[in-house]
Amino acid sequence: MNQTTKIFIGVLIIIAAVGYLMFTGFSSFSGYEVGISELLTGQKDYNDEYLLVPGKLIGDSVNFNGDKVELVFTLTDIKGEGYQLPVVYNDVKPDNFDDGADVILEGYYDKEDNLFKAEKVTTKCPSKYEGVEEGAETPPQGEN
Amino acid sequence: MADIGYLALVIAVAIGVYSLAAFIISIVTDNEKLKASAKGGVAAIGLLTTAASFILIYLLLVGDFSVKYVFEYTSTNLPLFYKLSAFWAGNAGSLLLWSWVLAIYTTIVTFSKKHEQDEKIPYVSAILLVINIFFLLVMTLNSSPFERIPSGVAVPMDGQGLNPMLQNPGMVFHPVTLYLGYVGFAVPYAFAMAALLTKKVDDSWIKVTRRWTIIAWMFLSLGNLYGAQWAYVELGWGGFWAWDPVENASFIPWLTGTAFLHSVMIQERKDMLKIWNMSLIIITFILTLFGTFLVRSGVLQSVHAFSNSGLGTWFLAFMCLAAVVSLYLLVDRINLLKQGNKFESYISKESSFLVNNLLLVGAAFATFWGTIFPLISEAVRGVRVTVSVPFFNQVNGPILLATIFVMGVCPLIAWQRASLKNIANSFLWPLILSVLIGVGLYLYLPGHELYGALAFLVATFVMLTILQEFYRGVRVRRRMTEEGFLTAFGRLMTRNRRRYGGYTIHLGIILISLAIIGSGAYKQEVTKQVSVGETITIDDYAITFNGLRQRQEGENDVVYAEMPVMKDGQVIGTITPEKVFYATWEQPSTEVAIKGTLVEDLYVILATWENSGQTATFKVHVNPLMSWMWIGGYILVLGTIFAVWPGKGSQLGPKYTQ
Repeated sequence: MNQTTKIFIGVLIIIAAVGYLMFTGFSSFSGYEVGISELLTGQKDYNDEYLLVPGKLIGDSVNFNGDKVELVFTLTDIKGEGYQLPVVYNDVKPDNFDDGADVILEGYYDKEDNLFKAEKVTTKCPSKYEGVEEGAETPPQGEN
Repeated sequence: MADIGYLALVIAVAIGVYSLAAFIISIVTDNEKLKASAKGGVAAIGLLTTAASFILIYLLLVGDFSVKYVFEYTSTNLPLFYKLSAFWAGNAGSLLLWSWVLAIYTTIVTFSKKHEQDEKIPYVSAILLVINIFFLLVMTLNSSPFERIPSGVAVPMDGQGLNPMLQNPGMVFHPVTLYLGYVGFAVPYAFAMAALLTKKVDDSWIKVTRRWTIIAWMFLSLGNLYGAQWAYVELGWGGFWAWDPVENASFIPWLTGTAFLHSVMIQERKDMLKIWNMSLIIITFILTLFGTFLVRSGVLQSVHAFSNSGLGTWFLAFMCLAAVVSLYLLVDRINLLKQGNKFESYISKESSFLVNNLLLVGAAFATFWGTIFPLISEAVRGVRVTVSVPFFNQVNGPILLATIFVMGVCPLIAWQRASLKNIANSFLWPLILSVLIGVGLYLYLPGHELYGALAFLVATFVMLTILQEFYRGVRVRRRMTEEGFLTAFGRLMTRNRRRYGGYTIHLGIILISLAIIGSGAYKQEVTKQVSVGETITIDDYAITFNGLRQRQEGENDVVYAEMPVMKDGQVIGTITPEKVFYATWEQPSTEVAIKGTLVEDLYVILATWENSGQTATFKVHVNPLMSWMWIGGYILVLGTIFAVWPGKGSQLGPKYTQ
């Protein structure tokens, strides 16, 4: 076997290994990104699927139980169609967790209990807020 | 003032278009006078963007709230430091920063004395000008930092203030270093394209751009690290690295850039991998645009993205244009890029560089694929399929570990062909020691983490081979010159700066890897609600909650807990996690408290409190080896500067050194 063939085989082995890692990674750790409206009213059953769900926080719904380390809150869908998703998260409240904040959930949805069990809750980096809503077009007068 | 800033940008566009045309005509007609005028245009753009940037800085500092950008990102009471950093807090300002850096780079390249005789330079300048014009156009037509609030509305008394999460030193360093890196890769890309255009595809474009590439790479590394450091202390960003699409967007070009700066060495020395190198720099440059696109388009769910400002389409179009033109050039000139040599042995430096490249590009591909998969699956199947953090860890973990292994082996294998004896000779002691350490960690540490121990084994093996290489160099030198140990060490380093700078950078990377492995495999965490007087224990630490206190810091109220920390029964100090209530922001912001040693970080978050502070909830982590991530980063920077500093010792060593 000449050197070029050996090198070629080596290259193939590496590519195959990377491919294998990607393939197994995909089958074990992929999930769906769904909107709240789709999750609540869609045909598909998302039970036991790992989900990524973006939504907007309803500020008044946030409740933290320090004893159980349990954060409970409700998100509405981004389009503003009024669908609401109750969420439970066994961790502390992230920063920037105020009314209307863009939140990304990762975890599982239990259709029977209508409850999203979040494993990860992230709030969008504040630069996202630029010019989105209040203040951008008509700045309030004076102090605010 | 703001109008002058905007005007400067408009004039810069006009001059850019003129200059580009002048370059093209002067290249075709060989008109030196016109070429000089085109070069003048480049300098003018450099000046105009500098002027625009200083005007923006001035507006931010004086707080001219009639300018929308100033109104949205600052307030009167914002500390000076953050008024300045508000420059790149938003979309429009960050584009100006990009544009400014690029214009300065373009000016440096165009006027460099070193390049005076290089006939490729007008091409390089013209290519860089196209990128300049693109950014200037985006700013003038789509998002100008100088836009005023609508006329008829009274000028507000105060601005909205900078979001507390952006009031962090990370905000000052992370974007700047990242952009210096991103934009830096435009220079080797432009040289590569110029080489293809002029059909002069020898390795001169690589030699000329080596410093640019390495420095851009250093800044990109730093940008990523500062980002990690910042995310580490912000609650809600998922720790120092969360495989968020926007984080990936700056990591992927780092991977391909790293592959590029290694594989060009093979071309320099052995005249091989020419097509591969061209492809890598094209990919890296396009990925830097892709990163900018991802951050601004809103196509993926990310915690760090800017709002969707219609810029996505602009960037997508420009990216496609760059990709099509570069690929056309590459394919059209492909017969010029013939290999000068063949692989002579499957165990040689060339082949180990090839392995390193395949692994890095493999990691880049896997990360890229995982990042954009929601878009692809949506296009193909109509559902957005996402991959989660474990995917990236599982795929990239082994690949990057293998890369680290190659990093240890590669530099010690001789060019062309390595003998078995030579290999045993180089690796015996590091292998024995690292296996002992790996096995020891596996048995001794709680949890018996197999992967953690294995990763440690590999990383320490590589670290030991690097240290051994320093030691051997010194020993050989001392035998020949009879110098003292330190003198020999110093001279060894300074006479072969490229090589030992490289080893130093590798050492930095190893330290960063150790931190990633350590904090990944051996992290401990507890979240607990406690009443006044109660203690939280984790690992060997005991932290006591003695109630909350309050203090005033400028306009902000700070609520904090001063907690004595005991380790193994000894008091080792206090730790003060805080919540800061900003005058200009509705929600308080969490300031984590970190008590760091070289062994581990004790990381405490004051999450919330009830009963007017009689009970409070804390989240406590013990993150092993974290400080090595930052130390490794600085070693990486030192190694880079050492390697590329001009002057004696920075040249390429003789070919085929054993």
